[in-house]
Amino acid sequence: MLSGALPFDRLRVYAGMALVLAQLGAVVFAHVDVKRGAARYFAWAPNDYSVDYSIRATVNGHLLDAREFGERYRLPERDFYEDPPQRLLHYLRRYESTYGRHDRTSLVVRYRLDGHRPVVWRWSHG
Amino acid sequence: MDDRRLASLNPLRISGTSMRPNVLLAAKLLALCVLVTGRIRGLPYHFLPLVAFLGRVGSPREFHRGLELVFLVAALALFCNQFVRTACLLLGLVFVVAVLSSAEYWHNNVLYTGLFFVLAALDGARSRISLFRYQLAVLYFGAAWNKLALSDWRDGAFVKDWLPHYFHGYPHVASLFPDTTLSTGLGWVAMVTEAALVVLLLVPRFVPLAIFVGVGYHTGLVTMTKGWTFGMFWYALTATYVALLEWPTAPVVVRYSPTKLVHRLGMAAVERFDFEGWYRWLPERVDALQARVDGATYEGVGAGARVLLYCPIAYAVFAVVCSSWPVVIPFTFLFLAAIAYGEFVRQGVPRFRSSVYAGGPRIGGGG
Repeated sequence: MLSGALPFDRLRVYAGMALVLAQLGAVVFAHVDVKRGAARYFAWAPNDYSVDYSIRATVNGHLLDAREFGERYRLPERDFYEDPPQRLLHYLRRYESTYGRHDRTSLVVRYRLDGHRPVVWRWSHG
Repeated sequence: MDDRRLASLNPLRISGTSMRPNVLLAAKLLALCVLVTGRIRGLPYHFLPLVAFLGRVGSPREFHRGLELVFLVAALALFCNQFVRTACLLLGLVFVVAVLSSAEYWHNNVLYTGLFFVLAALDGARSRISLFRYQLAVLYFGAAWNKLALSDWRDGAFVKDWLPHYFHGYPHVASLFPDTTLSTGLGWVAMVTEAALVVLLLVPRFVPLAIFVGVGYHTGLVTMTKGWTFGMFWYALTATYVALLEWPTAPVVVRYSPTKLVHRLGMAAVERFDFEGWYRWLPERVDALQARVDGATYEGVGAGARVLLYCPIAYAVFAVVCSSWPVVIPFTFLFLAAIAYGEFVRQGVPRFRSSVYAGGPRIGGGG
């Protein structure tokens, strides 16, 4: 299939195929590794989840209002989210373990996945 | 700068570079859509990077400006047919770096847009392997697998909860059917379509059908959600299908009637922007427009659709219109219907022949 192609052409195609195959591996990994694949970062699974969430964040004893929340996390305090809820929770944990690591933070996330009963997730540190 | 060199800068020229004409066209269209939809302003300031060192590349504002600048320079080079592969690679890296630099900006549609440009840069002009075919197959494989693995997709719970966020009247429509029948049905249509596309894309002779099904499926999603393009997904996926087209290896011969106003206007409009000689217009006594493409003859509406299918200016206009007013996107169905009609009534080459790219001679001048 590459016999008519110039050598450099072939190298490009091999590189492209490697990229595609890497994605295939990532898709398989996301499903096989239940724990680490739960956030579905590289699974080509966009818009497969219907998540209505609201988040309450208390930082150093101060309950953040909507504007403060948005400035801190660059997320709406309540919104509709179409990726796995694990990704949202992972995002918040990553923020708190990096930019927010010196703060005393308490997070309460309420979300409904696909119209099922609400789930409450709590997390705090500091 | 002489005339020939100037002519090579024409954004509507798609041949004479190291890229296949339709791949270059697709890349230009997607870059144009990014610009018209204003997404360049949305490029991120680094924040919670997935790759740590990206968070230390300049200040957030400098990083954002740098991405914008690289995008603009690369897009300009691409539109002007200069260093096209490098331009595509840079455009791709802008988006890939963007998603890796900001967890806030991480979206599949943006990542896919970046990968499209990277694959356009890597696509082998003389290779019979189409990277885009395999890329789409992997994408649909992942999408179908994830949906099939989720019980909420299989029993309709997802669609029942998700669709009202876009189509407020959906609960009323769904209530016309027993229980979750409609929601379950829509979910299974999505899953079966995506699974089928994997097969269609992997079998070369079915690629034309895959193009038809794929564009129709994604346009259907945009229609159902009343104009939501899923970020850049509709634009990037449609561009990918353009990159999969089998481009004519000789000028499209169009027989038209000079006594018919519609024919004359169409010919004038297309010929005005046909800088590379993609068409040969022959005035004849015909009742219906006829278009001959690599051995296959189309008539009437099918011929008109084929003329548009290989017309860069038509794509550019449609891209600008769809980027500006996504509610127009469902008109794509009209075009698909015309293509399908033309395919079923045409004469000549057997239907659904292999669409493996033959790497034939380029059309038109170089430069």
